[in-house]
Amino acid sequence: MRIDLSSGGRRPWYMRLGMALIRWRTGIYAGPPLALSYRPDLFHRDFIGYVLRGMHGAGGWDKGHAELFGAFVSHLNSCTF
Amino acid sequence: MLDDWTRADVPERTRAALRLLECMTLRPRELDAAFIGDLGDLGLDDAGMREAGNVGFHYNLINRVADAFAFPVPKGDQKSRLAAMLNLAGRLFKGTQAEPAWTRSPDGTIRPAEVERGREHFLSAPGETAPELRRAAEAFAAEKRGFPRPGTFSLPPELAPYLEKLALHAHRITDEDVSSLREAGYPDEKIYEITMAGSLGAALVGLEQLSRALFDRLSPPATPTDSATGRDAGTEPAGQ
Repeated sequence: MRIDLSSGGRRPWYMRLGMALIRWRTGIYAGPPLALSYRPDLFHRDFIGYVLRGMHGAGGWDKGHAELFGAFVSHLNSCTF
Repeated sequence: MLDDWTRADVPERTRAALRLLECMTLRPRELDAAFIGDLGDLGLDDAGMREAGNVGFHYNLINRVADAFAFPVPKGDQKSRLAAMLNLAGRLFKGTQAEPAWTRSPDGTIRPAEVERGREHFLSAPGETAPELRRAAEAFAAEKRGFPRPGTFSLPPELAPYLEKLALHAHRITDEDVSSLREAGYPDEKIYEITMAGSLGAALVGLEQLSRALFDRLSPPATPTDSATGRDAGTEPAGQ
């Protein structure tokens, strides 16, 4: 049994609302925001902005490139996510 | 395509980025100035390396977290719905390139400035675990990937098997691994912090190698940033 990230933690009400909206719209909890919002007090705003910038295309890459790169690294790590 | 990326029908610049990501993920020790010089010859400029490296770091981090926490894998149209919602959230919160781009930590490691701030915040913020334990977990995972952190760290031995698996073979983490930590006296809140610290350490080493190589090649030698004092802003590499 793994840790249940959908409850507990120190997620403020607006993040709980955001997670619930994602689940209502997609039928699934979104792993990365679920993990990072579980304890938002531990993550500096600039750090979150950094990783989001990369995922939305920068440095001459577009979002499709970023998704390809992410899929490639997941493949190398044998990660199904 | 992902299996045979060296022969895939993609532009050379994209293939060079895949080569960079493979090196960051599997062989970070080989990521040096000569390696990025070769990538430059293939048409991958420094900004392209830096931002591909950003994605590589992000996924090396989140893959470990996903395996440790058993993230649900979206299926069918869940993927597109989820992507649309995360895209919206990302547009709202994504950051801009920091100035300066690079920061030198007190131990001399070069990292993107935002990452250095994030790492220091994560490792020093009040939490369910002591900051010393998070630092030890982060350092242990980095060491398992071949990059010992300077200094002395004291990691409780019962955490070592879990953190080693997290650093090297996160996809092999099982329910039993997590249960054994609970049985050793770690509540879920502590396991969460230890997992995030270990994932951070394991993921950072490739980004640190890339940052060092870019910084050394492109920056004037006299202006390292000291993240402890905030003095002497590091230099944005030329050609950005």
